[in-house]
Amino acid sequence: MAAGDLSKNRILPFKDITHLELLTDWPTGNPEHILKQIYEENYPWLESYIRQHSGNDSDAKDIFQESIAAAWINVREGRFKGSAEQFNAYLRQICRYKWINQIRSGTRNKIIYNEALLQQETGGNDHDIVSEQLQQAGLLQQSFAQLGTKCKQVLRLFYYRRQSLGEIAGSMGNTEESIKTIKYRCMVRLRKLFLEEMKKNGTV
Amino acid sequence: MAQYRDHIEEALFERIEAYLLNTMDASARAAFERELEASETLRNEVDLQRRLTAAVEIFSDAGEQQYRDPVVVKKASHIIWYAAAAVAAILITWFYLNNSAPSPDKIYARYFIPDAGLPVVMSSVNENYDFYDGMISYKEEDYNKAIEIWKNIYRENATNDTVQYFIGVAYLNNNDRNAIDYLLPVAENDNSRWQSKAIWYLALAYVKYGRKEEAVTWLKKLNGDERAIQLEKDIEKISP
Repeated sequence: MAAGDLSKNRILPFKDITHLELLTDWPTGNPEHILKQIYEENYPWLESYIRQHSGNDSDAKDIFQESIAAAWINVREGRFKGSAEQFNAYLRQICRYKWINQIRSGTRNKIIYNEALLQQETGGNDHDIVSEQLQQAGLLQQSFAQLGTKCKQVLRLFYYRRQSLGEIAGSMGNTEESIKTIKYRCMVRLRKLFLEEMKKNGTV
Repeated sequence: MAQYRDHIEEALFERIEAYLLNTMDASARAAFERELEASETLRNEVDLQRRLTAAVEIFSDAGEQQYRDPVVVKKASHIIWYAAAAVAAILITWFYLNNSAPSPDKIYARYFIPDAGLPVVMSSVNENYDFYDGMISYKEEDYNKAIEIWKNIYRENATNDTVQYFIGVAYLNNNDRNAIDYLLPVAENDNSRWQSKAIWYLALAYVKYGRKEEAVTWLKKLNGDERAIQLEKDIEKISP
């Protein structure tokens, strides 16, 4: 099967399985569908949590975007393994950590958290790991943001929407070979930008 | 701490992608896994590509979450008022513009459609790598990069009308008046397959930069082309 035939693969609904096999099973794990499900299962909880802890809906949106990015990348890298329930717990742990950290850093000082509560809310000794994961996701986001519009469009259609090269070529008035080459060059550019960001941060 | 190479070749990139997306056949996969076991550099490269692909997925999603963002829905009433005000402003502007003499920029915008460029196929890439490398940048709308690549070819062969033409249209797409310097020799070149397209874009460049007499002179060379006749009529409406 060619790489361009991905859209024909079977797509499993997130809620119908007990393990996150689909997240680490790249061909069948359609990101658009899985992310929608994760969002529906967790975002209402986060909105409620943030409101209870002196934040608003806009804060919830920002916290969710950053937390889901860190969690998603970790799962896709195979570093997180567990059930869908465990994944939701893990994502919520990152959200709590991120929010409490934001409050402690002084950008939000309406309430004061003590260290004991922080340990309890965010799972204790995993702070360094979560912090590192959030930092890496931040660097990847900065790198992705620097890509041109056309690159983002081709990459989004191929990796996120899982369209075939032929479908993308048809919709963009291009040949399949051109799209394949553009995709490669855009990924090379993203790779270069990310490695530069890592160097700047002393992480490579 | 993982070490990475400066660059990844297309063949290796495609192999890793086929491995990650499970589009390799069983024997190729087994061979790749043996290589993975033996090479830490390859393992690092696979991990990096997995991470970058995950980043593309999640940050593409961030751009698409608006439709399921309840915050947006709650602000809808304000948005309706803003939208109504914007529509009113557009209508007033439209009425004003249609009752006054057209500007060169307006006419240019009405007629200008960027040249789509040449199709890039693997055989053509092998034959003339640099030119098609520039063409890929052109298609990515990275016109500065395309111009930089094509100028290297142009320096070695200043009579290459294809390169001249595409440098010209790349400049024009970038709203850079250098376009004229490259389009003019192609428009004057009776042996060039790009001549009529070069004349059209040259005339548009002249319109854009307020040189309407020169634009009309070149349009007349298109021998009654309908678009050229219509553009000529519109140029006459530009206030002196």
